[in-house]
Amino acid sequence: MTDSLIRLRVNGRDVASPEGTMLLEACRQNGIEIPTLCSDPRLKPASNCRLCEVEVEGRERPACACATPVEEGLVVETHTPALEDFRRAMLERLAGRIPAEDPARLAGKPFRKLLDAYGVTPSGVRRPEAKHPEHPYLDVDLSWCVACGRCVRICDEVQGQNIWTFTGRAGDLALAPELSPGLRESACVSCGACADTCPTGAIEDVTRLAEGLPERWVRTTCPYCGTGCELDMGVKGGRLTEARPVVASAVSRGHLCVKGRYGWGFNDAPDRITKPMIRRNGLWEAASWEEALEAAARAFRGALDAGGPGAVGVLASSRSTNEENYLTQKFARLALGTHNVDCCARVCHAPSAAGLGQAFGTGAATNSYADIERAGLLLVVGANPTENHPIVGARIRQRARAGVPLIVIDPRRTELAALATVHLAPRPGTNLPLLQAMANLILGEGLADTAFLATRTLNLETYAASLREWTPERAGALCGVEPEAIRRAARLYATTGPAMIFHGLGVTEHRQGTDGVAALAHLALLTGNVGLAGGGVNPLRGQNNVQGSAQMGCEPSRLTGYQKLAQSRETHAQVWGADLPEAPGLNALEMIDAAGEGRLKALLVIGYDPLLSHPGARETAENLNGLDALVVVDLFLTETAKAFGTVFLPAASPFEKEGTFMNGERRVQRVRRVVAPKGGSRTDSEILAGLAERLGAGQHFRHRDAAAVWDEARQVWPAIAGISHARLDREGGLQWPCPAEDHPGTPVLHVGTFPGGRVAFRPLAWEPSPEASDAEFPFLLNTGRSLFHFNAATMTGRTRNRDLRADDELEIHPEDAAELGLAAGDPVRVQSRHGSFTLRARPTDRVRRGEPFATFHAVAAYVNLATGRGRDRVTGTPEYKVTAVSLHAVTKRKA
Amino acid sequence: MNHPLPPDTANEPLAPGQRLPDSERKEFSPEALVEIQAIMAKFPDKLAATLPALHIAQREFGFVSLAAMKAVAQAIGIPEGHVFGVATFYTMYQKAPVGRFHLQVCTNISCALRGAAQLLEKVCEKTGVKPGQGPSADGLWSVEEVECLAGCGSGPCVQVNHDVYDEFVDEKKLLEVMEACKRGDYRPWAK
Ligand code: SF4
Ligand code: SF4
Ligand code: FES
Ligand code: FES
Repeated sequence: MTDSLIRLRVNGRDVASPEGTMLLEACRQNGIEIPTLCSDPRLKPASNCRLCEVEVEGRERPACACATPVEEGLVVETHTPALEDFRRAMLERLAGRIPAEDPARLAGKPFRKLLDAYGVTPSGVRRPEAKHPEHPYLDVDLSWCVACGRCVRICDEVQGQNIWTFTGRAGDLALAPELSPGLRESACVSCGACADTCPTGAIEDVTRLAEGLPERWVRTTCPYCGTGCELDMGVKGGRLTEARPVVASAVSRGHLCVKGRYGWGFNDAPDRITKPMIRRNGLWEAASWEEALEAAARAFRGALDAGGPGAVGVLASSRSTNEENYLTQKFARLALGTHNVDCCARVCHAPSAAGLGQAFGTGAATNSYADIERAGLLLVVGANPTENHPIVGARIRQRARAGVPLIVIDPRRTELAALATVHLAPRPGTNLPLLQAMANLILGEGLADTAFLATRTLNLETYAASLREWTPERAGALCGVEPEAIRRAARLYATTGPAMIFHGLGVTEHRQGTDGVAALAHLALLTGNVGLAGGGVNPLRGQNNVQGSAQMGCEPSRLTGYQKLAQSRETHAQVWGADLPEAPGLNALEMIDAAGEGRLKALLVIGYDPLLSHPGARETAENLNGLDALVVVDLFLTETAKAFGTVFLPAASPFEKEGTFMNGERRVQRVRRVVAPKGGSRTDSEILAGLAERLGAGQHFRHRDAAAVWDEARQVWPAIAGISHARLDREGGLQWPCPAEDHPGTPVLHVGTFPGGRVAFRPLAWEPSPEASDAEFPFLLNTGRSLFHFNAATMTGRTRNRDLRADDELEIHPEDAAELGLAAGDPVRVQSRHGSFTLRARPTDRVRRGEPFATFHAVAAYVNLATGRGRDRVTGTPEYKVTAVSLHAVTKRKA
Repeated sequence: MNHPLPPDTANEPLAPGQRLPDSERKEFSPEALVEIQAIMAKFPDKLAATLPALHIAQREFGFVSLAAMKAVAQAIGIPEGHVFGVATFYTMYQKAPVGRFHLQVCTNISCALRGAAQLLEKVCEKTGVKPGQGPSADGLWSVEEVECLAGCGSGPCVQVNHDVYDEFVDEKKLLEVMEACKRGDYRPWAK
């Protein structure tokens, strides 16, 4: 590619840079540093500060290096005395506005480095009136502001929230959070991007000001959602003190959301349990590791003796590393001799794996997040990425704002729905008819990609025939959507390529979750949107490592690599040097059912809170009560542990161990030990090895370190054979399939062919959810998450995120609220056929009439008391998204 | 010469957390929305409609209140912060209520040489309000010190509301102008 290089002369030296590079970057690549203040690689050049001005031969005025692209033959001088004098003068002017007091605020900041380099000192005074009102994470004191505009630009160009704005002009210039008196009252999502880019610390992390500069930084992967952003964790005195985004990260590109950026406080939460405990006579008592491990092992031995391998089970954690999940399933299979092992993918994206597996042959996202910028159209179905996968959400929003067509299918008017070219709001539980009608239209109107269909698919005829009944009119009536809107969406999707689909739990957590995913896959196949950059079908995986848990084999009928038991039992047995049981095991929900029936006696639960997160909490409780022993491995005493735990083994947090996570785009990324395990806690690997030792299977768990565990997994699953820890450390995250060390990884699946050659369409029959509303239960309840919390809020509930959004709320249409006599904040009881819970009402037109929405984070609210028994027919994933309920205003009685 | 009046506080930097005044009125009239749509249609980028839309808001809301800025943001479909920034950048958008007659006195150099400062003082005396201090008790007057009104050869000058300025204004002339206002000879500030 040398011929596309542009040659120029800088300070008398010949340099070459690719076309489109800015002078600033070109110089940097060649070891010439030009001072900058307003430039940030995440932002478009703004030419505000002019510190980067350089002399270009033949030009009358100096040019801003940050905004001047390289040109053939340019002759540039970057550090002439005149330029340096100019820079010093500019800095002196700015330093005159920066308080001379409290130099700590500037410590480590780019502006401090500039001042030092030019021998300038701040000489201004602090203006008390320039201090902004308090915020849990961001400290804003504009006495330090040099008006570079980076905060305004990053909030616009990266986060897309447009909170900061300059007010006034010249000497009266100030900064305001939109029209609000403070950040807290504004629509700020606390992503912290402004504080990260601010070169002076005018906007700064509260923790940085409290704790000072970290002593060291460790790069790791975010422990929250499946996006898999990279974090630089700051450590001081052996404790985490801050998290910063990584500009060089392929996934997050220097951006984070409130959870990754500020949600690490749980690590040192006062109620974190760091000593093992055993429950005796109903009470938890501290125990040594020796005692606790022995008690746990004894319980499993007892259960095995009494009921055989069917009487024990393991729930793996999607928060744990791939290595630990690999060990977990190996533990279940070898130490306990059972396939009763499952992970929380069961309650979220198992249908994605199954649906995509059936349709394409690989049960994972087909494309990469980087394709968001390549897609000609984005279709977002049953997902609310701006809250749940904020980094993906922000990028989708930026594309939509740039004019890329966006179709959103969601019963709620989410942030993205409000921006969408077409928003289809089907009644909960009616995704399938809607998608079928779109497919039918695409075929009927001749919009399908016939060449693709002819060469890469089978069974089109039968499938097409099965669709014919789905006219937009029929589907529209069922879904409560205008037939014309369905037509628009179908035509837009089919005619604007490449078209990329993202879907979330709004597709999977349904009776027909797997079919819903298959229907999306069919749409992509019909339009030839598979196997190309900017296309495909991409589940937004909920937990950081839910992809990894399932992929590592924490699945009752699948082994490592999501390979079918029958297919790879041999390989596993060979590598493991031990036989695996033959019959598949029970899934997570079946295990709990089996506990209720007395068939399952002992359960190991790792980083999972079934009592809080499974549907039908009352029934879950009754079932768990049937266990003889429940061994919990976690950071905190979860609801499950509180109620039914018999042994508690304190686990190391994701910041305290080595390993890897696998994000929603199949990328394996390193997790690193940032701090030592707190107190007496141990990593899952150590705990599992300890248990295995006591169950007579110790020899299978004597790995040197996490890398050795991973290397074993590489032997049983060829798709990751080329990914080693060493390579990840060197090159950054890699996407499987990556069969060899010299393979670059696979950003796009199914290019040219599918794993099984051609793929066959599968006719999908619709079956209405039995959770239909009726006179007694007139509302359809939907559930989900809010930006500020994560799942059971085990982690976020222990950070200051709770100051930003403390309680779960019931979103309800204002007219419904008015009819029930509910004002904002009033308590409302939600009653279903299964149970009830009470939340505060939040009237909003984000939801439609008759379709309230509850977030499910808080223990106090226990939303799952009301959710039902409906499950996906294929994978058994619960139907969280549809529950018929009645609503009742709770009248406040005087005590 | 010392400036005889306290400085105009209307355009001081906004302290953090400080709220600008809000108005009773919260929404545009349907006609105004049509007008804004028509303006937007003229530009390739909708941000360009911000300035004219703010003028319409000033006319409809009486001044550019917080609600007016929100309404502009919503009508054009742009961030509220952008509207806020623009509205506070330009001094000719009134961010606080003004009287039915907003008297604007030029104190630029030519007028200053011909006694603008004294005139401004007179205006304050006769109306009973100071620059940036909102309408008089009867709601009739507000006063603002402004930049050149393009009547440099015939200063000192006073502009009443939007479009008319008077030249060679002395005390007598000022009283005449104020009488004329009361009679209804000048267009009122807002609809
Ligand atoms: S607050 Fe910081 S980032 Fe924003 S303009 Fe001021 S100095 Fe720049
Ligand atoms: S924290 Fe994020 S959303 Fe809030 S103002 Fe800063 S950049 Fe914008
Ligand atoms: S860095 Fe180039 S103008 Fe500020
Ligand atoms: S200086 Fe007063 S009008 Fe020009």
